[in-house]
Amino acid sequence: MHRVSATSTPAWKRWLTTTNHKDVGILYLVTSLLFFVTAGIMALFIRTQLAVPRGTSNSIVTQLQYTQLVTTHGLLMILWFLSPFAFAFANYFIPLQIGARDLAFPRLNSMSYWFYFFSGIAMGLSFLIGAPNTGWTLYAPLTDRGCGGTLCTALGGFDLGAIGLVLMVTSITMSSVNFIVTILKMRAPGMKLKFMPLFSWTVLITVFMMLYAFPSLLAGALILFADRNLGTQYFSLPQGGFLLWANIFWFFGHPEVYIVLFPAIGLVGDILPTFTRRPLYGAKYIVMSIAAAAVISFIVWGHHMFVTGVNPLVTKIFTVSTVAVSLPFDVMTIAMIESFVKAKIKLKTPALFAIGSIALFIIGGITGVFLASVALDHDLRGGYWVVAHFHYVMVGGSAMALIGGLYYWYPKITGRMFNERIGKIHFLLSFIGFNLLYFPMFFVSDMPRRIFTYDVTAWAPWNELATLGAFIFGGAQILLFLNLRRSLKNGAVAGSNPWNGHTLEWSVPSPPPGYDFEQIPRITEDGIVHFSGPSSAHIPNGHTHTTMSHLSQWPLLIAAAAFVFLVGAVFTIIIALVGVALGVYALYGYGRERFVAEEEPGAESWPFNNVPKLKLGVWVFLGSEVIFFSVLLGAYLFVRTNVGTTWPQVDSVFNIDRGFLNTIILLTSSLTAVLGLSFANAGSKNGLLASLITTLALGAGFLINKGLEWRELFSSGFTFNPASTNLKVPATTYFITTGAHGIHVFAGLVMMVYLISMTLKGHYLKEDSTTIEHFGLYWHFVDIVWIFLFPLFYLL
Amino acid sequence: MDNRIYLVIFAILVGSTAGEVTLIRSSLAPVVISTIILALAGMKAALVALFFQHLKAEPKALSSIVLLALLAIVPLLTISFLQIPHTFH
Repeated sequence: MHRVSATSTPAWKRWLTTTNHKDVGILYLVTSLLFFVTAGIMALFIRTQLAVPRGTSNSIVTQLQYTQLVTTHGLLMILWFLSPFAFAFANYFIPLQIGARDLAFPRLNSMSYWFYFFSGIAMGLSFLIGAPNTGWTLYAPLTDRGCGGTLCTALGGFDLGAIGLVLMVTSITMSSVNFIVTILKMRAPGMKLKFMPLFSWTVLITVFMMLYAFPSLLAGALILFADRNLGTQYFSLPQGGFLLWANIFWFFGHPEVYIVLFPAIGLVGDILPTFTRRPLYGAKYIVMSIAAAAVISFIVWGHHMFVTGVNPLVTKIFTVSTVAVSLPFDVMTIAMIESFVKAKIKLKTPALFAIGSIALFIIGGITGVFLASVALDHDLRGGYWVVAHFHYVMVGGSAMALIGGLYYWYPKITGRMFNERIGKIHFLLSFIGFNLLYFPMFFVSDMPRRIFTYDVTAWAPWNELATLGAFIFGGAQILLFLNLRRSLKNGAVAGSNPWNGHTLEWSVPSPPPGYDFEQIPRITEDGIVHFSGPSSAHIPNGHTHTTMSHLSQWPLLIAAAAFVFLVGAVFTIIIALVGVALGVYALYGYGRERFVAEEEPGAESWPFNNVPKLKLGVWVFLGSEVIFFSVLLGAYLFVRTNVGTTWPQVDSVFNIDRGFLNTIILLTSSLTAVLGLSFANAGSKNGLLASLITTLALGAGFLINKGLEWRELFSSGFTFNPASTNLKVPATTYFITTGAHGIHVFAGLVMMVYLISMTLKGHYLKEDSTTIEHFGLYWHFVDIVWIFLFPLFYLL
Repeated sequence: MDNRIYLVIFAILVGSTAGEVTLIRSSLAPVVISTIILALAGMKAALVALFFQHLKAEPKALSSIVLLALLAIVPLLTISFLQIPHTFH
């Protein structure tokens, strides 16, 4: 592992290779703000187009360009700006708030940033060669390459957009694992969960939601990618393809709204006590409400599908659950409003944005409850009511609070104060501009939200107002950037605690040193913080006063390789092969690099006291894999149920004997893998080697057998898109599901090759056997998936 | 964990897989066959998780991460299926 002092590392190298949580946080911050500006400019194009009735000839953009702008604006704002903006703060401040010196897996953190970065590049490039134009919901069958309608697209940019989504979800999964392990395993001694600041609480709940929601989008994006590039037909199937996409998408999509919102609520919960100078009212109940809303959010997605003709019983379930999910938010907002009672409020810029976001969120929340009613939703869902409601929640509730957070933590990050007067003007213009922009939309609820021009003159005044508001709101953000840029050099020195905040980040200098804490804090039962114990000279992982951070180029190279490979998979095999070569090189370098995720002695880690960080990380990752494969299996069952009697007879297409053989092969490989762990624990190098080689051979045998089966099926006409109508569903479900499983098996083989090479050098014996155990957890999971695939495809 | 336990679990896994294949060629009603086969698959998955992945010996909190995932997916699978009769039949 490189250890380089701040002075000896060129700035460009530091930013490309840093793994320090604060540096990565700043990278997220700058990148997400770039996407904010990009998507914001797109919004101004949209508003300019809609300002007045134009007809087709007087339009400033074409219908195709308009739909592309709307789609890319939505995707960028939600996935590339709001969440990463919140996680910029999470990266920077979670370790500081819980009393840790970094995230649990610093290199993984860096890698998740670079995957995010390249996902944004893919999305940006997609705009240059024909961006997605279906709306951010990517509804099927509009996404079908050959749907033939005016809105569907065969443009290559759509596939780049799908690549962007895959890379983005990969990034998010890595982040989720990292933050869950960090918060649950690395809290300072005495930092019980009940002492955690609200922001840390909301991030913990949010990352669990991300872990369970995003694999659904990943499964959907991969299926979409296969449909468009391999010819499989999941989402264009008449047997419910469009409904399947809606279910998969909104199972992710509705929790995503709260994923974007909760960190912002946490930020408001941290800002309010500082500026009201009294504790947050009912903090415990706010946390409980957020947790309750998180759980309920997974059973409300169907209210986005009221008009798709779903079963009336289903609409009733979703009406009840949607109303139910609004109740915890009532508790949160009332508790926050109660915090103002008899408080001596200091109306500084962060407080203004926090208070403003509560006010706007109330409007956004209340207008959303109307949509829980099937009758009202039927009329409102297609019009600008939804646009207004959605933006009051996402921009008013989330973005405004996050901008408040930027002001709140700017002095900590930079060591400088911003210009308060400009900050207040920025808030005022933002608040006025925002309401001018979105409130008029409630009055044009009958105006369809998917048209690029209109001829109803009664809508014009409201649209003119909205466009005026858009330019005021957009222009106000220039003040933000100018203020922060100027204050970076000219701002007054902030000191360590300019706001008299009470959370741990305010106990360290501004900006914090690379190692965060001179001495790790210790919190006593009464909640008082003490600083004692070993000084930073003895910090694990080699951080010292002169060390900036670990630097590693491998996370960047791995992310670049994934990007190049996926782009090549769409456009040309040569580029894909370059991606593979770069990936092998980068993964090898990553594996060889000495990097130890040491356990923090004395860290608060209930309820995982005796579970090592890495093992917890592997299990958390497997949790996301459970969702991923469950969605794939659910999709298979969904379309198969709709096909009914046209499914091929048992043993007529899928050979039972071949499937049985593969099952026995994988089960045996699980046995040899677990015996390998026994040999490793016993210190038997030869036993471990024999086990790993046998497991590798069995895994390879499984793939060879699978390959032979695919070849036989292809030669018999059972291709990705067979000629026989009756075989389309079986072919699509079989190839996608077993293909995804096969990729997992292949990844396991790659890991085994590496493990064997390291075992030959004498690693993994006795106390060093944890890597073998962690590999085994993955391999057994792959086995479990096949245990279900075998009967579902070959026997039933 | 004792290696003999792994061998016993392996034997059960192979035996129940053979049982699944035998069952599919039996004359039982399809619904009975399907139910038994899926139950066997569930049992096999649980055995692998409990013994090969050692969840039996781990703190319950660790199992809860996977159980939470399963819990999250249940509504998607069940409610999605509830939609089917009205839409297509």
